[in-house]
Formats: sequence, C-alpha cells, structure tokens
Amino acid sequence: MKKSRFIRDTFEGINMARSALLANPLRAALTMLGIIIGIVTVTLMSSLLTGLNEMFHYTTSSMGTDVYYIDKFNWMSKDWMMQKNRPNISAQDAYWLRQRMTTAKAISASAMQDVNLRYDDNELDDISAAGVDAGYEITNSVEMDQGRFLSTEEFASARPVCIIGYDIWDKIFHKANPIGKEIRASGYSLEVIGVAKKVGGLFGDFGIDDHILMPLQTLINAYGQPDRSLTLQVKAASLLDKENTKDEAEYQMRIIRRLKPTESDNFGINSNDQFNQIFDGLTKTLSIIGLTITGLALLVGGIGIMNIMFVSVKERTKEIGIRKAIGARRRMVLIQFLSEASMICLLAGSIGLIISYAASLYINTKVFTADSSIHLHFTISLILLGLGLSTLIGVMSGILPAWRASKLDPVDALRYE
Amino acid sequence: MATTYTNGSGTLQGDAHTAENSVIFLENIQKVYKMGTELVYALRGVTIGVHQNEYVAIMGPSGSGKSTLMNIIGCLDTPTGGAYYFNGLNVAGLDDDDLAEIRNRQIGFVFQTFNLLARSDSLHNVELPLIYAGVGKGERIRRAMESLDHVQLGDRAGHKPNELSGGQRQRVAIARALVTRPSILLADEPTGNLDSKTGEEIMRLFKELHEQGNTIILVTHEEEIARHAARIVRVKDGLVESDEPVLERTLV
Repeated sequence: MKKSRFIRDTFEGINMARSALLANPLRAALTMLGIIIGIVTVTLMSSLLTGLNEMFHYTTSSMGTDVYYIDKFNWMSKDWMMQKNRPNISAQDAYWLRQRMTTAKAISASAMQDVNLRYDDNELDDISAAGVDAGYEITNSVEMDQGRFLSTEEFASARPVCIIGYDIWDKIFHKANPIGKEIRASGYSLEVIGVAKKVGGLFGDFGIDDHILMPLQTLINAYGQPDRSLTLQVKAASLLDKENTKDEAEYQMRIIRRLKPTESDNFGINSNDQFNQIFDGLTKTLSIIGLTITGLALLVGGIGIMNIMFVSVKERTKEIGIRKAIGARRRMVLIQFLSEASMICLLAGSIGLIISYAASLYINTKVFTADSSIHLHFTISLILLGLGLSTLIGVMSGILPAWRASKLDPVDALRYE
Repeated sequence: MATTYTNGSGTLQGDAHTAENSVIFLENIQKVYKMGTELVYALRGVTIGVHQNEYVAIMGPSGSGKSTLMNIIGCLDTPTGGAYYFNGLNVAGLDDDDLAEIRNRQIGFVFQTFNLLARSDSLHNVELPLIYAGVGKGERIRRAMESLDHVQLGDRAGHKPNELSGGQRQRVAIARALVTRPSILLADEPTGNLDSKTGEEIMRLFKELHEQGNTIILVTHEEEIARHAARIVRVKDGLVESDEPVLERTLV
C-alpha cells in the first residue's frame, strides 16, 4: 500500500516535472549543454580506452603468450649496465637448448639488423631485417601471403634470399609481383621468395609487417658480427602448461651456462605477458587522466543544473506555496524538483550518447580506417554508464534545490510575488 | 479539558461551542513572532468555535492579527500557545506533513489572488488536490469535472487561467477547494480582486454552497461582504473584539 503510494507520487512528480520543462524549453536546452558535452567526452574517452586496450591485447595474443624469449637482457629490467656484461646468447646456447628441451613445441634463434631497402627507385630506411632459422616459422606463427617460407637447403647454405613483410611489399613493390625480384638490403642483394601475411595490430606495425626475414647465416655473412647475441624463442608444447616450459627453459639454460645454485641467471626469459602488464599500466594511467578531465566537465555541467534549479525554485516559490497550501507533502515537492533535475540530465545524457555514437561511427570510418589497428568501442555498457552517470548527476545536483523547495514555509511562499 | 464558551450566535445556532461539537475550535490561541530581538504578539489568546454548516466572517483591520488567525485556522501555520481542535483532533502539535494532509483533505482554500497554477488548465488545477490525496487518474478526472460542473465551468476545463475572466478564475479556485469535499471552506478576501458585480456572483455561489451544507469561513475587511455571513467575528489587536450573529444579512 505504502509502496504503491510512493510509486504514484514519483509518477506524478515526473509528470509535473515534464510540464515544467516543456514550459521553458530554451532554458532547459541551454542547461543541458554542459551535461551533453560531459557525456560526449566521457563516452568517447572510454570507448577510445576500450579500443586501445583491445588493440594491445589483440596484438599480444596474436603474438602468442606461449612463447618465451631468451635474451641477453630482461626486457622490463632497469639495470641495463649490469646486464650488458652478461655473455651473449650464442649459437651454441641455441644448439644445446634445442637438444635438451622436452616441453617445447619449437625453438628458434634469430638476430636483428637495421638495413635500408632498395628496389628500383624505391628506398626504405631503418627496416629491421631478421636472420632466422627453421623454427621461426612455428615460434612466430609466420603465414605466407605469396611465395613460400625459407627452405632447409636455403638455411643450410645461407642463400641470399628473403621474405618480405606485407607493408614492405606494399611500399616498395606497390603490390606488384615481387617473387624472384632482387632487392638490396644495405647494399646486399637478396632474392624475394615470399611475402608474409599481414598480421595487423601494433605488433604487425612494428613487427613482421615491416620486417624482412632471411636465413640467420645469410645475415651474418652480409653484415658481420658472427658472435652477436641471439634471441631464442621457445614455444610451449601446451598453452596450459606454458609455465612449465618457462621453468624448464630457465633450468636448462642454467645448466648450459653451468651456473652454480648461488649464481643468478645471466640471461633473461621474457614473454609478451610483460607487454600486457605495461599496456595495462598505460591504459590505467590514461583512464585516470582521461576520466578526471571528463569528470570535471560533468561536474561543471552538474553545477550548471544545480544553479538553474535554484533559480527555478526561487521563481516558482509562489507555485510551491500553492501546492503546499492544497496539501502537497514535503516529499511530493522534493520528488517534483528532483525529477525535474534528473529528467534534464537524463535527456542531456541521451542526446550526448547519440552524438558520441554518431561521432564514433564517423571516427571509425573516416579517421581510423577499416584495417587500422585501433577502433572506438561503443558498447551497451557504455550506454548504461552514460545514462546512469547522467541520472546520478541529476539527482546530485537536484537534491539541494529540491530540499530547499520542500522546506519552504507555505505562508511565506504564498506571500511571495 | 476544553472550555465551553457562549457567544451571540448561541441563540441562533443552538448549542454552545465545545471542542467536541465544533468543526473547528480554537482555545486561547496565541502567536508570537520574533522580529530580531523584539517579540511581536500577533494573537494574544483567541477563542473561537465554528459548528458544522456555519457561515462565519472574520473581520479586522490590517495588523489586527486577522491574517495570522486565518493561517492558523487553515493549518498553514502553527500557534505558539493554546489548543486548536479540528474535528476534535488537536492540531497544534502536528508536524508539516500531518498539517499538509489536513489541508489537503479537510480544508478548501479560496484566495484573493485565486492562486491557480498559471501553466495548467482548469481541469488540472482542480484535480491537483486529488493528486496529492493519492486518488487514481480516472476517479480524479471524474471528480474534478463534477466539481467544475458544480461552479458552471464544465465547458472551461481545457482553458488556462489567462484564458478566463477573474470571476471564472475564482470559480475554478472554488471548484478546486470543493473537490476533496473538505470540512471547511476558508476564503480569504475572495472578492478582493473582482469588480462588484462579479464579486456578487461569487458571494451568491458561497451562499448556495452554504445552503448545500458546507461550512464557510470568510476572512474580509469589507463590512458589506461580511454581512453575507450569518455571524461576524471581529478581531482587533490580537484579540476577539466581538462575536455576534448578523441580524440583517445581505441577501444575494
């Protein structure tokens, strides 16, 4: 009984609020502006953050989190100077690790070299060339777009052949047939035998899409430094037991390196999970900054609503007096003004959501293209967030003016002109 | 224990007023305001009773305490001393919401300036007290229309106050006052903003309502208007100066 009365009071309060808003549409619209801007920024910001996050995680998962990188350095470590004195990862290390590992699906050794590429008049500077071995195809999940992967014979005899990344094919061949063509990598002539499939994402952009691959020995023959430090990639036999593989890799490397139990590792074992951690930290920081700024916009909007509600209460003092004289209880007056503020905000929130939805569609098609690695994510939860947030602001900014209205003395209010 | 008092109307109205047999019964009502450091005594001990179906005028010059008395009778204000029985219930100590409930269900207000909601049409103005009484929509509209018909304004239900004449506005206000079937009609200078002809129409309506059984309390400073009532209570300096029946009533 009591509950239905409350629902009816609320319903009537909303009705009264609606007619009050319709009576003064221009003012309502101007008041809404602050909230609209706030909701647009908050939703666009969080859809951008979701997009960023998704891009990072898509990227790292496409790289595989079941691959461990045995490197001279620990990627996330800061004591570079100490690690500089570690022994290089050698072909011997790679050989013995391959012999000893039991929980690895594949192991590869690779080295990187910056080169400039030339074909005809097209030139690309600062391209990463990777010298790889047969295991690389599996550890890096290389798939071919055209041509074929490097053959056993080519690895064994260090033939001057290479596979180019998809973006490189685009940039220096303009998507013309590259197979059998000679390109020059920092002056060293290489025959193109294949094009790798586009990976996309951040790792595609900074990874294989922009790399060329050649046999490791070819790289060393061409650019020297036979004792350069290699990167060993160990792909776990089972994704679920990847931690075992990591532990085994560390254990086997310690044996290969003949380390005493008291000595610490003189190599680093890295994984893409570490990137995830960095990305998560990065997105968290971005979230805090972004949401603080947009939160401020909403706060300003909310203060605007509160201000206009105070004015509205003042203007309608007489009306409140009449309502109270004929029997409006405090709660009814409170509900009426609270609904008014909430309705302004909810309406503004909905408009804001429509605008930001349109904006995100526009940005996704015009600014970020279909194959770009980042997209704005406009989700259901974002809509709920927007609506919830705007209602909350309405209630928060309306409560004080509504309270003041409900507390007006009917005699004074009736006398007010 | 409420005291009994007799007044000039005793011979006409029958019983003397007590808290038990009156619709409203004010006993030694006082109202003191604090203006800065000074105390202002608006009412110094007013005792009045009104029976069911009485037609009483309260008269007094400005500053007499007449308005304060009306506010207290209308449960818009609470006294600082004395007891006020409304249908036997002492309302002097009730809180805001209880008073709102009494105003809503027991008192029909008619104001000098009509006090209609400007943005709402007649029907909505009349149904407003029923909204606050929690009456459902269908019932509300039926009763509001009934009430508008009662004041011959059934055909003006969709008109807003600024589309109505002064007399029509006041009749909408009377329809609003009647819609909850209150125990008393409390009219504060109901003809003050109307020309004399229209004022007369309104006074005729009050007379009819009185004849139909309504209890009417009329607050006015005009002798001529007051003489429509059956009894006049004169207030001066916060006290009842006289309380007697009207021997020669103005008949409209």
